[in-house]
Amino acid sequence: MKKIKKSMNKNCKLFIIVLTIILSIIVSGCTPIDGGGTQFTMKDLRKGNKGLEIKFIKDAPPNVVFENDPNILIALSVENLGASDIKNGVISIGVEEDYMSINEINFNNEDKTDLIVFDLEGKSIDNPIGGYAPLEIYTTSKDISLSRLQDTSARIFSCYDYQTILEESICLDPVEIRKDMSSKACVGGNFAPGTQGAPVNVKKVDVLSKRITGNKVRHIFRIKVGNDGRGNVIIPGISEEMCSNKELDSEKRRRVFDLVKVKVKLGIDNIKCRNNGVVKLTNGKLGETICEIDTTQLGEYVTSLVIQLDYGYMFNIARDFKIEKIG
Amino acid sequence: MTGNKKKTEDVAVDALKSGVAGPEGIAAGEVADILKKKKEGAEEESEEEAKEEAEEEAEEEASEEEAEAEKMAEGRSHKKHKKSGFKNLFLGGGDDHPFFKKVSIFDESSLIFWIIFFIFLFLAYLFRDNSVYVTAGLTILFLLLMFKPRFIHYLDIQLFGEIKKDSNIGKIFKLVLISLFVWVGISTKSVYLQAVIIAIFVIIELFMPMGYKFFMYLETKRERDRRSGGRSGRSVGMKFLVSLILDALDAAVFFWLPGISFAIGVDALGIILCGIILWGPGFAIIGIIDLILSLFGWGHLFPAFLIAGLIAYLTGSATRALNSKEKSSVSGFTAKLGKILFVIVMGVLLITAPFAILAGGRVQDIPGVIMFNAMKASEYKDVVQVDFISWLNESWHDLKSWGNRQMLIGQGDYYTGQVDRYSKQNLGVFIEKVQPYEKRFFLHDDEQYAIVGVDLKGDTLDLEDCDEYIDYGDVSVFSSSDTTENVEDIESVGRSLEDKLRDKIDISDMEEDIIRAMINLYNKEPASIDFTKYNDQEQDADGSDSDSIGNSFVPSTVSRRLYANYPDCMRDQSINLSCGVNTKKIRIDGVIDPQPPVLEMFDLAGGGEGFECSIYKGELDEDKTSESVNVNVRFPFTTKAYLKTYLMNEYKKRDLKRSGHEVLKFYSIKDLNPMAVYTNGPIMIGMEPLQDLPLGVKPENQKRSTRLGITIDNRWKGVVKRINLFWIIVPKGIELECGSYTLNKKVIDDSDVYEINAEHFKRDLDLRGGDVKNFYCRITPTLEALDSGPITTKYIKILIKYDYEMTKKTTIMYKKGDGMQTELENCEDFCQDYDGCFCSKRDCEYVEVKIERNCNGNKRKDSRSDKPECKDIDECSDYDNYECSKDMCDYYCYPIYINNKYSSCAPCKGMISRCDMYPNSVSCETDACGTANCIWKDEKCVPVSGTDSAGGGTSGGGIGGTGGTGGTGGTMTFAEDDPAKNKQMIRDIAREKGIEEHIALGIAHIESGGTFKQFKSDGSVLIGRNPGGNHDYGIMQINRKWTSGVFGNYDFSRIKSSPEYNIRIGLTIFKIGLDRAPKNGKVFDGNGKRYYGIDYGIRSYNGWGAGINDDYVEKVKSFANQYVT
Repeated sequence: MKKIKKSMNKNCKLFIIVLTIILSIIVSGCTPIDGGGTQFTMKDLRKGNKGLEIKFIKDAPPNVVFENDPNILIALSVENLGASDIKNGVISIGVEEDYMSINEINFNNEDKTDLIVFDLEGKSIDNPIGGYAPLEIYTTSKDISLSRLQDTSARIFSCYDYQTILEESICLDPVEIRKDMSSKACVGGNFAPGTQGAPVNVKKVDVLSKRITGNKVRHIFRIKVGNDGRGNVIIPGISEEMCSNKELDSEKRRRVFDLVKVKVKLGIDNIKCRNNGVVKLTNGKLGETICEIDTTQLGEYVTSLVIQLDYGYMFNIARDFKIEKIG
Repeated sequence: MTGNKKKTEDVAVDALKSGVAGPEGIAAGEVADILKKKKEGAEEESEEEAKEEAEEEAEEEASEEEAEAEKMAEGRSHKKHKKSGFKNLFLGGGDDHPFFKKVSIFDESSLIFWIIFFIFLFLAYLFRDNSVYVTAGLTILFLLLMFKPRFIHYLDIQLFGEIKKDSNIGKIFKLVLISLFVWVGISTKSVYLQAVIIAIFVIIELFMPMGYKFFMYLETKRERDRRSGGRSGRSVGMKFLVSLILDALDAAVFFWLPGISFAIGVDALGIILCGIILWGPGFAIIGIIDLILSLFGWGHLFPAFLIAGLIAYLTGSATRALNSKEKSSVSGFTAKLGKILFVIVMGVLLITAPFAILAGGRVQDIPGVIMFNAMKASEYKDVVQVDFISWLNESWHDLKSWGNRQMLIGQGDYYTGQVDRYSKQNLGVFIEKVQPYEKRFFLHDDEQYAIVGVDLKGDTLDLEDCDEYIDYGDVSVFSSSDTTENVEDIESVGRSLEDKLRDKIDISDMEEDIIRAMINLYNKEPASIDFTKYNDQEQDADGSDSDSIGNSFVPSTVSRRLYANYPDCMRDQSINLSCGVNTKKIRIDGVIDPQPPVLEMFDLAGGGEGFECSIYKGELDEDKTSESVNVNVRFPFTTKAYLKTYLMNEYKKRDLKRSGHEVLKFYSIKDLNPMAVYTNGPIMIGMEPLQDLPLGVKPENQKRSTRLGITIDNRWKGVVKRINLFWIIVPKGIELECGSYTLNKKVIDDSDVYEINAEHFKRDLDLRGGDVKNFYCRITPTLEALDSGPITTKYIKILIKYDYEMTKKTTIMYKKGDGMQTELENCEDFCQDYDGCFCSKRDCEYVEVKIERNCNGNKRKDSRSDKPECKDIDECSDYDNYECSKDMCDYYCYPIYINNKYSSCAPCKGMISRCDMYPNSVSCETDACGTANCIWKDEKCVPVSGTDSAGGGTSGGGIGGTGGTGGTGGTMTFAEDDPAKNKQMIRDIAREKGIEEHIALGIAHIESGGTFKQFKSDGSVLIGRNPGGNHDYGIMQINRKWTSGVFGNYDFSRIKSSPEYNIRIGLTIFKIGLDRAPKNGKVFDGNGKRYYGIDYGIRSYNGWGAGINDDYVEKVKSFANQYVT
């Protein structure tokens, strides 16, 4: 018995030591941002393919609720995980009114109607985790039609305008000007920038620089844009119409979906893009545009390229649950 | 098929080579001739037949030439099999096939076989109630179908006769035959019946060849003996034996292959295997067709296809004509007779043997069981005709329904739905079992009724115990002294209260303040109860008043009332029971126990409930031995359905579509093609909008409508008798129009409820089993229907409340007599017992004799049966010399028939309530059918009111045999019909019978309309017409139906003619009802009140049918108060 006790004591001590080590590692990793440790830049924050994220909280609503229950909570978390702020975003709530009715909506601790217009900041140096707001919908279940159980669902629609910004230092290297590679200041080429902290990202930039006259070099950029999120791209400025039962203005009606406005800046110069920079995503997924600019700088040089994508984004999520008859 | 043939050929060749031919032998030249004939390819003879012939007639000439000839013949046969395409596939032969040959349906042998076939078919129908036994036997037989018979041509000849080429009649005849089987399959949907039909074929297929083999063996042997002068041919016997062994091996292999498939549940494989074995690719196709059909839920059609295939198979197997020997063997009269007998015997054996064995009998007792069943079957003859006609009608209706359904499906107008997967599976009322309590009833024993027991099972969606809704407010439970002021011991008051309410409340667990409050409330005094102390016990820790089950939240509103009051509840929860015997001419209503014949759904749920149907033996036709009893169960049922739809702005929908998006997928909606969901039960409700989902919604000034198709499909075999309520519930903002149907709109909760006027269904909806009814409505969603989101989910709901009637039949067997024989002490005494008599004296010639005979075997001379039945109107009155018709609907004879046991002709189908239906003076003046007050004038029967001689109509005295009618010397004329006298008579008779006088007067007041008179001013009897078409007569308004049966047997003519008799019988009937009052009383559907004692008696007098005179009791009591002395 004593031996067993001894061995237990030993194990216990060992466990405490290991735990202490692990905790100290964790604690030491949590260095404040503005503290003496790593400093975030916007480039660091512009990562990932998420924008607005809405999720149902577990068991809210539960899988089965009873009919005529006046206190059914549908709870969601609303987060802006992208690197762009959301202004006048819209969330609308759809429940099957034959079986559920909404009593009260609380968004970020404010009472709202079932069409919520909101602002939510994105990731920034000051707020590297992005904006968060809880959404609570208090509902009542109604009598069910047929038998013991009735399938129903709650659906949340979200529409918002968003922006993707890609900032890269690139080397512009006209191909005609042959030079010894070792003597080049930089080497140009195509690049794939990864994600930029938004649902729509610049997927690839093909750069072609060539001299077109004696002292002019034309830089052509083929910018490929892709929708990496699980929603749909819409034109900006129509969030309220798209996430409600309102209809669109007749002039907007024909060009609504899958259009992204691309703005490109090379150094300090704005670059002109085809079709005024409007990219149509094929099948809602991929699209490209070509932008070009003429410069007089003949040699290779490094400059900054800023690509800005403006678009609207919409998605919806649903939670299915059942209403059970009582009595 | 080919394999089997091959085996036969092999046997033949072996036999040929081993020299097992007839001993006499035939010249080599004859053999050569035969072989030559085969070489030339005489198409009407198959190789098998040729071999048989060669085998019979050749002796030692089995040479290589023969083998060559056989190969050629075989090759030709295969070619022929291949070339004829469809005919070959389904009919197995070319133009020379019997199918295409002229057939004489009057051909002696064919006709007889068809008659036998139909007898079997119908017997199968009759024995349907014993399907447990029969199906077991027939399943075995079905598996035996895998046997491949060798001599199908024999059957073909028997079925279709020896027929000529190119007959259209033949084609039509056979097509009709195939259609018949398909029809039987479709119309009955009964695997059992179809299995029986298959079995019939198996009987013929399986045993005919064996019989034929044996017959051929005898014939050949006889022929050989004739030729050889008496020498026997052992070789033929050997061949017969070998072929039987081969058959057995054949069967063994083919039995197990599909048998195992069926056994392990892979039916489709079994079907296909059966097809391959039986008929090669042709039949397998049928199996595959069935497999495909079964995927669509039409698997029940399998037997129909199987039978159709079987027929085709059978008819396709004989592709040659018979040789002369075969012809003679199958066409001789004795041969036919023998074979017919053989088929009958085998048929009876196979149908009855399973009964015998499964009922615990022994194999050696089968002959006795067969005899017993054969005797029993003969007793069914009386129900055969009625059943057969109803079967034909049902089948015809089923076929029409099926056709209509296919048309709708074909036109895309059949809107389907699916059963709510969460609903209970067995909703509705099911008649589980209908069984007579006795195997045979005796008409003259002590029991007055033939009783049939019925087991019911059922459940409904909204089950409710209607007793919970009974209002006990009328029950006087408190005396005026029961107030809190003068009650010292509150518990004693509680106890007295409990006594008064009997078992309705239990105060043992009640707190004092509750009892006190109840008393106060009763006395209309303020009452209060401190609920806090009760709430404390139920409140949760957090103070909420909810209950909790585990971790789930249960709101406090766990109990609710579905109905407003008791009648409302009963309308939805009560099951009405009825039963009766439907003969060709009349319907005999049975008496249901319980009375009133109503059960509550609540009684059925959980375990079922039974009831009894009693048929009054006195009304059964003594000349028959069986009747078919119909049990009808009519229950209210509610079927609910919903259809999920999606709505969105029409322009937004178009934008999405234009941009190449599928709208529903765009919104991540999983249920892309929502189907109507309905609760289980007799009917299916299907719905479908014409427009693709989501439905587009346009602004107010540009509405967009779409058609909503609704299908109501009666999936059960019963009848939707009445639609009580038809609601289409649409969400707010959706407008609804349904063509010519009048819709009453009301708003319930957040929905618009459109009620289709039930009047429409009287004209339009009469759904029998399998019927389909379509409705078309137009829905117009408006912006109001949209919720705030871009796409809105809404439900269109339908609720139909209807009365559904299920019917099940059984057959009761009965016999005259009481089942006991009487002893005859003298040999000369005539037996008067229907069961016969036994003779106790030893010197009598007989030990046992039938009725009307004595122990010496002599028949009584003056027996009524010796008299001829009257055929002429004049003869009908000569009872001494003629036997009057016992047909109660024969108005010539019925009124005066001495043994008339029916009290009324009212049950006669098609009876017209008019005097002129009586053809003679006797029937007219007796007015036995009680249709009206009639008189015979100017050789016509006319109503009394139509003559000048009022009051003279019902004298009818002296009519021999009508018992009391002749003795109505006290018949009062209408001149003597004095109200004051009548009132006094009522008092006297009431006193005599122990009835409260004022109550009797109250009843008479209501019944006579306050006149207290028997006759109207024109001298005719006071008649009140009931909604059902029958009449009530005289002061007490006595209905004919109460003049016999449970209330006794009374002279109806006196009821009409004598006020005293009318009063006497009326009060007798009232007294009987009063004496039957149950302790707990009975709830009357009409007003939900429970009547006890005298109130029960009054209510019984007027009947318990709701809807008319619902306040009869109250009225009678109100008038009765006037006559209290």
